[in-house]
Parts: sequence; C-alpha cells; structure tokens
Amino acid sequence: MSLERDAVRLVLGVVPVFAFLWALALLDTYKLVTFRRILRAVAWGSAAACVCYLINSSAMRALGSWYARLGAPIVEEVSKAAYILWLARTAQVGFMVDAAICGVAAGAGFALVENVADLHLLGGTTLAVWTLRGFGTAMMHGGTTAIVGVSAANAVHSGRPDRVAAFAPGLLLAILIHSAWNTALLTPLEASITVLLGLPVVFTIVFIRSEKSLRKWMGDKLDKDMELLHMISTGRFLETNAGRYLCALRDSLPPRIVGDMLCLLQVSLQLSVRAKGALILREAGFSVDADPAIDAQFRELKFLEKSIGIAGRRALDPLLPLSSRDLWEMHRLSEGE
Amino acid sequence: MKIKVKVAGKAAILSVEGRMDAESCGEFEAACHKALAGGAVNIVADLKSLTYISSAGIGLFAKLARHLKDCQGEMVLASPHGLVRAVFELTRVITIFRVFDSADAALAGLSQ
Repeated sequence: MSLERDAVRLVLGVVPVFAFLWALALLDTYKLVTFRRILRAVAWGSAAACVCYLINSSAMRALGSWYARLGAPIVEEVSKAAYILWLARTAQVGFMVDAAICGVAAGAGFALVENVADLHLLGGTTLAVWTLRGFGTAMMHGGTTAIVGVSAANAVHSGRPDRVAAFAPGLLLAILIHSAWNTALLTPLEASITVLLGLPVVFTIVFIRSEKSLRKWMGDKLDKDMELLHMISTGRFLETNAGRYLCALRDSLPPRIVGDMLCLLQVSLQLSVRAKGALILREAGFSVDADPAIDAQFRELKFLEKSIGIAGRRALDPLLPLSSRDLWEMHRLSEGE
Repeated sequence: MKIKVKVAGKAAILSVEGRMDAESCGEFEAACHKALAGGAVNIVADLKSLTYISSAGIGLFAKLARHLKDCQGEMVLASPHGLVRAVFELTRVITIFRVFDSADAALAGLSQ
C-alpha cells in the first residue's frame, strides 16, 4: 500500500513537469532540440542530483541548517548549470528556445531524483499538498536551470569578451530563487503556487519573443547569404562591396591567400544557407536526411581556414563574421540531426 | 508580382511573374488556397517568369508542399531557373518537389 501511495505521489509530482517540457518542445517550431538531447539533459540532471545529495547530506551534518538555505542552492544550481554551459560552449545550443528547453529538461531530471528522496521526508502530507509540492519543486528546478540556459545563450551571442560576466547574472538569479524557495519565506503551499503560476507565464513570453527574433534573424540573414552566394557563382562578386574589399586586399596579401579567402567565403555561405534551408524544411514538417557531401565541405573549410592563416581570417571577418550562431548551425548540419 | 491561374482537371496551374518576397508571397498563398477551395487537388507552380524569391517565399513553398501532401495532393515546380532555381537548390528545399521543364510536362507528370 505504501509503495503504491509513493508511486502515485511520484507520478503526480513529476509527470506535470514533463508535460510542461513537452509543451515547450511543441513551441520549438524549428525543432532545434532533438528527443535524444532532451533525454541526455534529463539524465545529466538526475546524475547531478545524486552527486548533490551526497554532498549536501555530508555538508548539512557538518554545517547545520543554514547550509540548506544558502549552500545547497549554490551547489545544485552550479551542478545543473554546468551541463547548459557545456552545451553553449560547444555550440550545441544556439538560441534562447533550445537553451531553455535543455534547462527545463535538466531541472526535471534533477527534480525526479529529489522527489524520490523526498517521498519519505514528506510522508505525512496529504496527496494534494504533495502534488503541489512535488510539482512546485520540479518547476522550480526546471525554471531556474532554464533561466541559466537563457542567460547562457544571451552571453554566447553578446559578443562581449567577458562572457562569464554576461552569463553570471542568470546563475545568480537562479541561486537566489532557489535560496528563497529553501528559506521558506512563504509556506510550502504558497511557494508552490507562486512558482506554478509565475514560471509558465514567464517562459511562454520568453519563448514567443525568442521564436520571433529567430524567425526574423533567419529570414534576413538567409536572403543576404543567398544574394552574396549568387553573385559569387554568377561571376558578379567583384561588383559588390564585398568583392571590392577582397580586391583591395590583393595589395597586402599574397594572391593565393586572397583566392582561398574567396573560396572560404563561398563554402561558409553554402553551409550556412543549407543549414537554414534545413530549418525551413523542419518547420514545414519535413524530415531532413544527413548529406554525406557535408563532411567534405567541412574538411575543405578547415583546410581553407588553415591556408589563409590568422591574418587572412582577420581580414575576412568583416565579410563573414563567423559568429557562434553560424558555427552552431554548421555543427547541427554536420550532425544531420 | 502577377499570378495567373488556369485550371486543368484536378490541377491548378499558377503562373507567377516578377518577384516573390515577404510582402508579395501572401498573394501566392491566397491564390493557392482559392484554387484548392475551388476543387483543385494538385498545384503546378509555373516559375518561368519568376525572377526573385526570398526566404519568405521558400518557406511558403515548403509550407504549401506539406499542406498539399497532408491533403493527398501534390505541388510540383515547372521551369524554375536562374536565381530562383539556385535558391531552391542551395537551401535543398528543391528535394521535396518534383521539378519539370514546363507546365505541360508538369501536368503530364501529375497524371502519371
């Protein structure tokens, strides 16, 4: 009977957050996050929760109850954020939408383990209180890690040299929310209701704004890329400002390097346009098969980057700013996901 | 952008002339839906006189192709050339369409 009751409580406490995660994934019209990536984030969150449980248990015994209010939120938020930061750093998330989905998924995985551990701690509570508490915990963990994800995505695209400083406020906010949750400024029921009502509204707004900016960015950039690429392939590149700029470099760089710079520009544009075309097809509901020719293009890209060297790359930057967003597109393209 | 619509059996031929950009692609979408509402099952997009297509147009073609597929119909392309063909090919959106040299060839292809 007790086992059955625990199972019901666990389901009631965790299933709604996975439903919320599913709803967020539906808002991801470009299908930026694959199911496999969501599962990986959930697995990371669960593993992080296990590690944190061991650390927190020992620390709580040694340091007392203040640790639960201040220490545990730092340890837990940093452990969840580590995965999101790794994704951002390796260009596996590129926009607020996918960073937030991965954040919610990691938080849901964390909450899953924490709710299992809490089953016996909150054994005496009623089913309704447990549901609100369990769901609230899951939403809090998902929400705080999503905040970290959104700030990490912004930091990556900020272009600021001190990206850690750009990302730090998000992590700090996540720790503060978590700490407030643990401090019990409100009753557990009030805190759960606040989180349950507040976070979905905030995230829906973030998602809609992010989708809008993504759509605009993709459309504008795709048109520019296609235009430049068409000028190159029809031999009219020299009529453009970019062409004139490249011509002017012939005086200061060896002709071979200028030639390779043009090739690098062309290959990069081709990869970028292909990636955006794949996003358009996904949005329309078509699956996109991996293209074996892409690997060869990436090898060529690497060769050309090496050939033109650092000076050539710097000179080419004004024509082709290889932002992390572009790199991320190419990365996804090469994965064929 | 100008659009001429001709009905041939269960297919509607939409001949597009000029430029298809973010502002004008709505006209093409409306014309397609009107043809479908009028009983057409398949659509031939005759792109012989289309000189420019932006990302908005490409996105619309992908969306319409999906819609027609869901309705057991098909959208095919006739005579895409120059920049328009290059855009379809570069983005690989062309992979979801059958492409014919002319509108007549497209009609013949649809009946097979």
